[in-house]
Amino acid sequence: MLNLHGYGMRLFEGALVTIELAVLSLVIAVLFGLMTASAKLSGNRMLHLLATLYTTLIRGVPDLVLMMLFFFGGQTLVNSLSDAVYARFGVDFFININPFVAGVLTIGLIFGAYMGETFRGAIQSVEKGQVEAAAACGMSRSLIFRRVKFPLMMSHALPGLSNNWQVLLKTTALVSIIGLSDMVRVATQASKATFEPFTFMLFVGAVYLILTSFSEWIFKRLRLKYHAGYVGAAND
Amino acid sequence: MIKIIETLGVANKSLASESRDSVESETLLKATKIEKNFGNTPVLKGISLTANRGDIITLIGSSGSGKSTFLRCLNLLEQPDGGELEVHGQKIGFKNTRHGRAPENDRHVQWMRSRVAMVFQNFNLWAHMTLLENIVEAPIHVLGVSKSKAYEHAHSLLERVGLAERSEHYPSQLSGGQQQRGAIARALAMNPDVMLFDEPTSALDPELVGDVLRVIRSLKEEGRTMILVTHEMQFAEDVSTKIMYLNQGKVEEVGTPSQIFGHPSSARLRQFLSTR
Repeated sequence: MLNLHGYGMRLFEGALVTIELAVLSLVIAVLFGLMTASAKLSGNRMLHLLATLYTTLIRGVPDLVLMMLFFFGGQTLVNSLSDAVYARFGVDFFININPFVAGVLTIGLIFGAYMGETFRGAIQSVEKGQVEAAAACGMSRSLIFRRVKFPLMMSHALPGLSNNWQVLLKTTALVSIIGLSDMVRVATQASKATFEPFTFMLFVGAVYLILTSFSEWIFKRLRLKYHAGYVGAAND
Repeated sequence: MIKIIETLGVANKSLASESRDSVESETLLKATKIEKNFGNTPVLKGISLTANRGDIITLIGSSGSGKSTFLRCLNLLEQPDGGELEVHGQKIGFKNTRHGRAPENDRHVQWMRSRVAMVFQNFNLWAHMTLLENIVEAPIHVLGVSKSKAYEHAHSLLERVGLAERSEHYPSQLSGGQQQRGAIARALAMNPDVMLFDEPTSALDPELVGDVLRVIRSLKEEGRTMILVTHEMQFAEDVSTKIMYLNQGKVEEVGTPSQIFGHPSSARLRQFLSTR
């Protein structure tokens, strides 16, 4: 039987951190992705430039570097800011960058850039006639997006989205370097203490596999939902 | 609103013929000197049209004459670069922006579009909704009709266009003719003042055209006001109250079907009709 040397509970808590981190990052990433896609499709040159800058920067720099930059670099920035405020106004404050918040924001920001491209392609693949028909009925812009554009877009975006989600879930392991006790960090500590890296890494690998398989199942159901109109081609 | 349609459906003939005499001059849609350019190319050079209740106006002309563009200007799917538009006595205001002319008030445009329904060449039923969902969508979310009333109305409309059995099908599971009849039901669900048809049979296999034309003909019988763009000349001659022949972005000739088809006065129209 698998002997976790009493690390079971801590590993379980670490797994919860991983899941929370991943889900919250996904929300941020989807928001940034939608914003990036809209900016790139808006026809506004300034917005387009800003979005292009964002995606180029994020996609061109390693995730690990970005993570350290945001966490350690961000802390340095906040520290010098608080020093400056103290020197000028005599007000003393100290902000500690929470590693969890830093992790969510960094991962969300990274994957927002990738999802921007996914969403852009998906929005463009929505047939013009579908949107025109909605406009012709007197629908407002927001209603058109909610009832027609978004659901149609989702059927195109889901494959890319599920791919991004899987990579995102695994990228959360990076937060262990900024001191968050996620599953990987707990397992690393346990391996060092017990000299049984094989046991703990195998365990952690299996948990990731279960999580990705489970989300694969959810995405399959979502694909079915948003693909409703496409299953069963025309009879004649 | 639904009641009006039901009344029309039950007593359509008497009501239609009566109302045509009594409110002969009720203008539902009026377009004045509509102009439109694509880049530097003028495609509409000042076209005017007045649709009174019960009118069935057909726009004919060779491809590139601007008839579809003009039709799309009537519910502002295309923004006209010049001219005025009036729906049910309400003028649509325009303002000049950096990107050209645009409607002054989006809300006003949305209201106007809910009164002027459009049937497209490629049907454009929403792919992610069943036929029934397609039909109740706008009445519920744009007009604010209650769900039960919208569904009740939708079922009666599907019955009417011969698709009662297909209500749970997705557009991809329907033939072109069925999709187009569904699209007509979707337009009718808004109980519009005016219906626009943009080449409703051009994308259909020949054997499916008849069913769609039969549905449109039944709309004439209940006194609906319609503006059509079509290449079906025989049908145009049968149903229209007025025919407009467009050539190179201008109205070349207007008249009753018997005038246009029987005694065309311009040489261009004669030539256009002879090639059919």
